[in-house]
Amino acid sequence: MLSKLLKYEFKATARIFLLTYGALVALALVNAGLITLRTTSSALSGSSLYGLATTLMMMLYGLAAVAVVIVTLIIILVRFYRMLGDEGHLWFTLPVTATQHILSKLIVAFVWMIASLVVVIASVALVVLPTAWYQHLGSVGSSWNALVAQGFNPGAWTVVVLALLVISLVCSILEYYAAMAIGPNLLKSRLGGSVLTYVIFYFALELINLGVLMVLSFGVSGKFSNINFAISDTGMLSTETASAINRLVSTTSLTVGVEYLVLAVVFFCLARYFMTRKLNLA
Amino acid sequence: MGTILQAQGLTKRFGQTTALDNVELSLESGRIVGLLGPNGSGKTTFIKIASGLLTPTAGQVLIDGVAPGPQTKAQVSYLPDRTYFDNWMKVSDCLELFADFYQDFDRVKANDMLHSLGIDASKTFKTLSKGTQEKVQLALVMSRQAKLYLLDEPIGGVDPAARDFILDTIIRNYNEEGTVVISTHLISDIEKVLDDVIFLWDGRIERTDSVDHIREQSGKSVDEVFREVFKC
Repeated sequence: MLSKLLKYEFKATARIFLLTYGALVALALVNAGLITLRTTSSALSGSSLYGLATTLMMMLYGLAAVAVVIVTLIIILVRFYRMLGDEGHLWFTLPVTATQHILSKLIVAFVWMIASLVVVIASVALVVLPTAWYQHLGSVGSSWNALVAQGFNPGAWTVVVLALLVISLVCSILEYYAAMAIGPNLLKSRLGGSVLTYVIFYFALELINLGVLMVLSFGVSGKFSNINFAISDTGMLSTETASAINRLVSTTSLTVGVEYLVLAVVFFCLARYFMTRKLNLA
Repeated sequence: MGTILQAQGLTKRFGQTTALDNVELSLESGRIVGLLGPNGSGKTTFIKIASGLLTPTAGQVLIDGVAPGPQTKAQVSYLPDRTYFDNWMKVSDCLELFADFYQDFDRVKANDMLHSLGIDASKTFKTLSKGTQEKVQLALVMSRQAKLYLLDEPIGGVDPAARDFILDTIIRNYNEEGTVVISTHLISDIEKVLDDVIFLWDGRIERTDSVDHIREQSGKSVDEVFREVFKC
């Protein structure tokens, strides 16, 4: 049943996302073209009218990039919110569990979030294509090798950063879902209740984050206070220092990762509980 | 015939308002039941609880011995008092959705019904008139071979000709081993198709009886009895 729900969720959202992405990529191409023309034609580069057109198109592109981010967030929220309204009379009478409903919305929301991120980054790369930025990609490799030479593991760091990105995205989506599932039980106004629940979650999370940060800083300060960051004559950190930094990064990211994982599970369980035991489609 | 629906001490409160008050009810299979009552009497609340869209404050409702959940939803065909399809959906998507999720959905029957109504399946649902949207939903709901049909105000807000069509569609298409519950306050239009009636008033059951018995006992139509019971 989950795969069937996913099918309808993708069908429901694909059109608007693909249109938005198409518009952004088109604007990126136009801007790349304008920049190329300006750099290759001396007549155009001196024209104030052309300069104005280039600026306007670049502003339009910037707005479109922001719009992609906003549209992504709005669609993710609206899809779940509407499921708890009139459309819920269809979705909640299907022989499907609340877990499957949440997972289908979550998976599709996550996919579109990542897709939006990729499209925005790709469009930026397109816009600045005429500056031949790709020629500098080689320096990434040398920086990578320099980090490895220092005793660091940039590969592992990349994996950790990506994992943290995934967990935090999932956690924030589930936070919205839980707020919307609880909302109608808090206030008569479904929207008002959802916003209020989200605000409560926001402040609770701030407190939790503060607590985690304090625990982390106390734990870290004892273990890592004797790190010597001095760079030797060879321009290298000592093996002990590099190893200590590696431990610091892994301890911090593991703590934050576990925190968001636990929060994600809590939000999921809250949403599921209120969608099964407290469902009230008025 | 066994019991298809049982309500035990069923109570639902919305804040200070009691929508259903300790309802005790048992419905047998193979009957067409009218859930009758004035506006605000708790008809929709009862149907929504049985469909799993509302959680009771106290008591329970059992469908074929099971509390509302995915298992009962596979057996209950529910028609809401509103349109519920997403704006992007074409009529063909609505059909596909029912075929995907309900094993008891008869796609051929649904297509035939839509064809006889002259509804183009390639049209987007939101572009249809409200009456046509309701007919599409009714065609889909009645194309299931369900054990229990819960139809919330299927003839509310439509003209008399459309009412006849809707009732005719219900009678010609329901699974005869199943039970049909039709909620309405338009008794005169519907009583000809009913086997039993439940009079609901202010969240409480005032009377449950068979239509034949009501007529024999009172010498009046159900509509006339209803007007006496719910006289303002």
